[in-house]
Amino acid sequence: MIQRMSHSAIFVMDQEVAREFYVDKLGLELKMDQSMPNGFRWLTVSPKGQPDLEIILMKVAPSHTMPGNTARVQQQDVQAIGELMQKGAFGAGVFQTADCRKTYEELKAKGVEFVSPPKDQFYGVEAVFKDPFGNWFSMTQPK
Amino acid sequence: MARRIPSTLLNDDTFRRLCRARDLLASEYQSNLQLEHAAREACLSPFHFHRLFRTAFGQTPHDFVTRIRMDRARHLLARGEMTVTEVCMDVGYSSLGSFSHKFLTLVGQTPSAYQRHIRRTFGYSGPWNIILVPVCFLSAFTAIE
Repeated sequence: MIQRMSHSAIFVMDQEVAREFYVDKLGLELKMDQSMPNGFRWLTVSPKGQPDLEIILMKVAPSHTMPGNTARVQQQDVQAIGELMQKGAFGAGVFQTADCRKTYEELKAKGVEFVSPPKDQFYGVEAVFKDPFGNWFSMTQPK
Repeated sequence: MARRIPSTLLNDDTFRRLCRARDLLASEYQSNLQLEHAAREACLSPFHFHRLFRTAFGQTPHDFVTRIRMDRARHLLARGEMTVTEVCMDVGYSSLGSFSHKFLTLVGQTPSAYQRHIRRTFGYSGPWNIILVPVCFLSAFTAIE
């Protein structure tokens, strides 16, 4: 039986930019930042209230074969993924906050781009922001 | 939509104070920082600190520190530059027995068996940090030049 999720991934186009955004602006906690001699960088962060879930900030890059697939990701695929991301094709998750409007002001002051300001919904207060690559997130204060 | 977990959503100020206390616990993992000290950092009584810490982070302050110590111990053991006793002292344990027992409970191997396992897998000069990355990710997402 699967008991819990320890890692999930957000795909990013540049890990340095991602680290600055997710750690310095969003205020997530840096868990691991280790580069391998072959160039692979294992970069993970966690929400402060959820230290046992690591979000892998995984770089979209030409790669070897994926598990269970013989196809490789090519350079043109990387470009296509980047363009789709910028178009807002990927909703990457929901973050929770105790005070959506306050956090909205804090994050906005730090330069986080919101595509939707806080709005009352039937389940709480919700704003939507995006990362520098176009991945977008709901930021919700549940009722 | 998101499942409601209001119990974890402490108000912002309390959550910030708890984060500050947790940072203190994390930075002082080698010493035996008292609960009262961490609670003071959060401006809470030890009882409320313990209760709210568990609500916010899903584990007790003691479990949190233990996890940090064991993570650090795994790093040091994998590096292979220190003996088990040296690692035990470095991460803040004074008793080798307690350290080994806790390590076995959380990691599933004794510290020495863990170190042997790493050496057998990667060799003495192996890239110790690789062990912390799932191999499927490492092989699938390594960039091709």
